[in-house]
Amino acid sequence: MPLEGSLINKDNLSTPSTKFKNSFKLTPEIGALVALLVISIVLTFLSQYFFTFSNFVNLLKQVSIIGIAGAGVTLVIISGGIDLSVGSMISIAVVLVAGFMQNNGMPPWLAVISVLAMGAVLGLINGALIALLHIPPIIATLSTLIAYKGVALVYTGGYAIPLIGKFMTPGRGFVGPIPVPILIMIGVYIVGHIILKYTMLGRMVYGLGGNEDAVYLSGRSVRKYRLIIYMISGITASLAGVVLASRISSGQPMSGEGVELDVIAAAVLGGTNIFGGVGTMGGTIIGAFILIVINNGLNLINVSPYGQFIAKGAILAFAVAVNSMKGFRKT
Amino acid sequence: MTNMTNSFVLEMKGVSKRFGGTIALENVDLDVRYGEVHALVGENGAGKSTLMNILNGSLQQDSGVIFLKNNQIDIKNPYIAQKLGISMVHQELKLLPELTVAENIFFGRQTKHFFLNWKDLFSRADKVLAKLGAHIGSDKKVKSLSIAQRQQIEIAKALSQKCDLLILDEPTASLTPKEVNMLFKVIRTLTEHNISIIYISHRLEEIFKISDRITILRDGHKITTLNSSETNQNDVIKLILGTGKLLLRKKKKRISDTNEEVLREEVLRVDKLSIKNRLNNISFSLHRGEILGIAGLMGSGRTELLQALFGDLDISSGDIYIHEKKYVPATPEKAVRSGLALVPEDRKERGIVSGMNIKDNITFAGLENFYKFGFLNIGKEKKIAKNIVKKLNIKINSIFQNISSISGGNQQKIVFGKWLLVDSDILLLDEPTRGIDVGAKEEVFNIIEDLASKDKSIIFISSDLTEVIQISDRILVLYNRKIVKDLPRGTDIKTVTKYATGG
Repeated sequence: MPLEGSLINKDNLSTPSTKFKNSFKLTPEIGALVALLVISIVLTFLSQYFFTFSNFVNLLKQVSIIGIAGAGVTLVIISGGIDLSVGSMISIAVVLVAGFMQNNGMPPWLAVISVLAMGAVLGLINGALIALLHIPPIIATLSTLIAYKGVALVYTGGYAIPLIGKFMTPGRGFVGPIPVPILIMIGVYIVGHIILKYTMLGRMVYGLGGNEDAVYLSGRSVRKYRLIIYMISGITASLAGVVLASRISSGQPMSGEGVELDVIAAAVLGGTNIFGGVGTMGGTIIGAFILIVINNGLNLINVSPYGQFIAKGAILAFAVAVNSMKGFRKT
Repeated sequence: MTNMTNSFVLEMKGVSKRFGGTIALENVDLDVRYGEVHALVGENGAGKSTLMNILNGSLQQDSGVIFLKNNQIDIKNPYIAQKLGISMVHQELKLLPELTVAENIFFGRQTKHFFLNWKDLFSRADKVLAKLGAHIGSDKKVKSLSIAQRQQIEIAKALSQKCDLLILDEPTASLTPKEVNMLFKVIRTLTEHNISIIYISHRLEEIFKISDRITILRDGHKITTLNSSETNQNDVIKLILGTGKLLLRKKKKRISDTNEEVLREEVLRVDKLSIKNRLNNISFSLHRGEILGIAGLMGSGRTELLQALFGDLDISSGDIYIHEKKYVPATPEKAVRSGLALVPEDRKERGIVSGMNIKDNITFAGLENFYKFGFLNIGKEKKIAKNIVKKLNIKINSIFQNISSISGGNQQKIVFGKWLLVDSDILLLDEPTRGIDVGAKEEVFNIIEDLASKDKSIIFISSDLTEVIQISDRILVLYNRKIVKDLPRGTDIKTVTKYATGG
């Protein structure tokens, strides 16, 4: 390697470097965590059912869908893109995993692998529209949101494929006291975190979101990395679909509808910058929990599902406004 | 009135402006007399645009004061500038193509009432246009007009409001000679009405035709203000390019000094390279350990040449050989694999990822150095980043600092550091010394010398010809998108300037 000889002075390598002291900084993730704790404490006082074991298990199960799909979308948003087609990709995965087992007689493991592969293809289509045809991400994935929704409906003819009594593990199973979907989610986030921090891909995700031109002029293939990033979003959406199909025991063609909004909201609540360059995996998990806890809490204190939409929208706008104000002060 | 004798409509005093780490203006003075055409000249990045953007309220100066008709003014935004009587016609015209001429002239002021009186609007527009001597139907849509006519609309728009000072930014850039004459007529009409003009242009012939005085900016500093009648083009060019004391830098010892064979080893050969309308039949070679300077004015094709080599601009024809092997530029990715590196002209827009920290910026192009089994070895990465910081004498507190928080000179050194890590053979440096302070410049020169002494080959571009002469082993002079001369080390600035300006 040329480096060892020309650049790295071996003596320097062994000298103890001055450790950088990371002073405590109020990052968006910590802000989101504080918000989550405050909301939880308030709900504990408002409802006797909130701070109970069974409710927590319930929360964890619910958070897993948004959480799993959110991992891929977090990569997409940090890289300066957006993926609106997540909900439709979830729907496709839901009907396919049910269909592969019920119609094609596939064993569950093969059905799951096939569905994940299909998700990769759907994601690659998004990536190709954006990186190869230069369609703006919001339009490209809006198009596929609509088209993929059609795919799910066409596949089932609009009917649900029943999965009664079958395929329970991914959505309803437990390992000890811990629900399987939450284990899947944790796995996804560990992988996601490693990708962001310790791989070339992760570095490119941040680079693309920060300054695509500089990435390009550093000799990196913008195209290749954009394709991979959207492909990953397709895979995580499909995995979320597998879990969802198992949880609702049915291949409902509309089951992923609207999930993309919760997923994007979770990422943004967790401090991911919608213009790219900034964000973490942990932030998105916290964001997903905020959304689910609010949902759950409003249910417990008998706010109608309709009213909950208003509350969630208001909280999202408020959270981003707070983050933006911090940004303003910096510049 | 105590100051009746003061004949200046505008006085800017000690204006300074920084963008993050880049010095755009330092302590610049500018005064403009009533009814004069005051030309503002300088190379790209000399600070002309920044100065004018401060004057029209788009930017705020960090320090310095501005007087308009002896009153100190604070130009917070373009609206206030307009109210004060300062208008600017931008190089890229800002008109609404789907609206009529009249609507554009009076945009936002079409009417004071709820309904629009079209007849009144058109007649008001006709009056303003007549004052300019422009024959344009005020009911025509702007998209149907020529660029020259659109420019007249912009000027009419300024005149329809309070206007004491009109800034024209490269007004002739896309005009035909006939249209230029028309514009000059308009300008003379305006000055007869005691309106002052700040005229920004790269075309010196025009400046000598139309201007009363000329202010020269170089690298964020005001060099001088001259009466147009008492100077000439050559002198102004010299001032634009810098005639500072010319000291050839002492060369570091290189293999090529003693070894003739190495010296003749061609690392890069360019044969009849052309890009339609941008580069014309460029042929040259670059040798091992050589610093090849490119002298040329803005627009001479110097940036395009580097972009083409780096795969950032498609070439029309020509052949390129790297180490005798044919190289067809396609993408920067391929260029980097072929041993090329580019330090781009626009550091902030293209050189650094401003949201990232210093470490990540340094290692961005060379992550392969600590990539094993698919994972980055962060510990090794930190060590290498720190070593580069030390080696290039980059002054920072920590490698985890955001790159935006450090000075332009240090940012530029990080861009160099990025390529040290890749160990590229051929470095293409496009204005690596622009907008950085004198000390950092010296250090960038040292880095370049150091690279050459380690057998790297370098193409160096600078707007400052003095710099090109100081560091280059050989100088290629570009003029009008062609190579006009190949000059040896130590050629005097007079000769270089002569060729660079088409002499």
